Amino acid sequence: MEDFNEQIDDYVRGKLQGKTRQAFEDQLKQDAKLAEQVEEQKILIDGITAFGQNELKAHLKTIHEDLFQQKQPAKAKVRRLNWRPLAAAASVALVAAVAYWAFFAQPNYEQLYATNFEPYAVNFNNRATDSTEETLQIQTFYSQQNYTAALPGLERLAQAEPQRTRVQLALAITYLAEGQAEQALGALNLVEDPLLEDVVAWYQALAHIRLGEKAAAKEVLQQLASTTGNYQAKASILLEEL
Amino acid sequence: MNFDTDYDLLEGLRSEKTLVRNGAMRHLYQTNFPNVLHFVQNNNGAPEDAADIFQDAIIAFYTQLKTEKFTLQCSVQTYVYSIARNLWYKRLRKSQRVVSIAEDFETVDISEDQMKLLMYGERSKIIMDLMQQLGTDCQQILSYFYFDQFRIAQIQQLLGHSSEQVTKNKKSKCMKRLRKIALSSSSFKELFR
Repeated sequence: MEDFNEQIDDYVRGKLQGKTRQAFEDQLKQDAKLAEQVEEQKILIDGITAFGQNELKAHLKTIHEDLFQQKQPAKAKVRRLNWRPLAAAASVALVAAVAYWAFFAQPNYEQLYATNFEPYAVNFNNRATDSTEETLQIQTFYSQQNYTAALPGLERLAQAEPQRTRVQLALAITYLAEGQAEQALGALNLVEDPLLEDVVAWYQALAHIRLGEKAAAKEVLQQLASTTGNYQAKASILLEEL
Repeated sequence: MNFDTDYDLLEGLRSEKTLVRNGAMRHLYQTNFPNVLHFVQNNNGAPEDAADIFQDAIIAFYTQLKTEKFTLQCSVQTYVYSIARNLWYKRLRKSQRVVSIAEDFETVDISEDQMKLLMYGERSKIIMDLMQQLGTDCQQILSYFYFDQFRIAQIQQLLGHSSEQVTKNKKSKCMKRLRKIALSSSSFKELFR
């Protein structure tokens, strides 16, 4: 029965091809119950599409306000945040730390940075062709958070092949850990991988904070906070702290 | 990322990464709204009308981009402008205002089928209301799958599920729940009379 439902779904979404499709359509002509189920599924999917379109419309309205009306867009965005339990749980520790700062201290950029910086696992040693002893060693240093030892090797790798996005990302995080925030920003700019976009944004924000560049940090965080993903909750908390 | 070429813009709009997609959407909005505004204002409309139909044009465009193997025969700008123009034309006719349209920009023909992609009908509204009875996690997963047309693997990554199977099961469960809600609703049953 389960497979059967999947097939109805595939058919309605136009994913059935050739003989499977033909067989399904033949059955459809004889089976009134099936025809009704297909019709139901169509209506449900159209409704979900309508729901998605409605959400998109709301999003476009905020873009419009941002771009063409000056109505404190940042605040509106934070209120629309869609908190997800997982992300929220992951940031309990962060909330506690941030609450501490809110209570005892004015935002201090260096401390804010220190509370929020955490290692990020990057596996850049994933190509069989150049899995050399040296790359392996660098990967180990990086994974052990021995940034001082990892830095020279990462710089070499990045220089040899600037387009290796994961090397650039690891290098940027290493720079950041070593207190070289400007170099970190430079390396982050070279990471052009859509899959890493929010990670990059997060570390960009931290680098700006480290440099005391509040406005720049805020801009990045606002975009991150309005975006569903692993960094959404963290970004909005940090944003409020700034 | 920059979205200066149509190729990059389309890639951005198709991306499952919310940050990338939002960036592309913003770029699309910023670069195309001024022409639509100009057009609507020259044809008996207010700026709010322009914003409203422009947003609908983007929605229709995005839906189309996702529903089929869609290839664009003109620039994104001309295409989105043409959809907006049609939407405005329809609205003018409905309200029996002016029918002669003042043109300033290049257009292409947009078929009726393409305009039907906007799900603003009664039927869809019924389900949309029923969707409100689902939790946000179900709303999100169903919307990602059926509206944004993301693959299970992409949704798994977006929602941080431990495996594709988890995502798949969750999607089926949510769909079952929606169907159950629908089947116990009188307005849904009305649709089959």
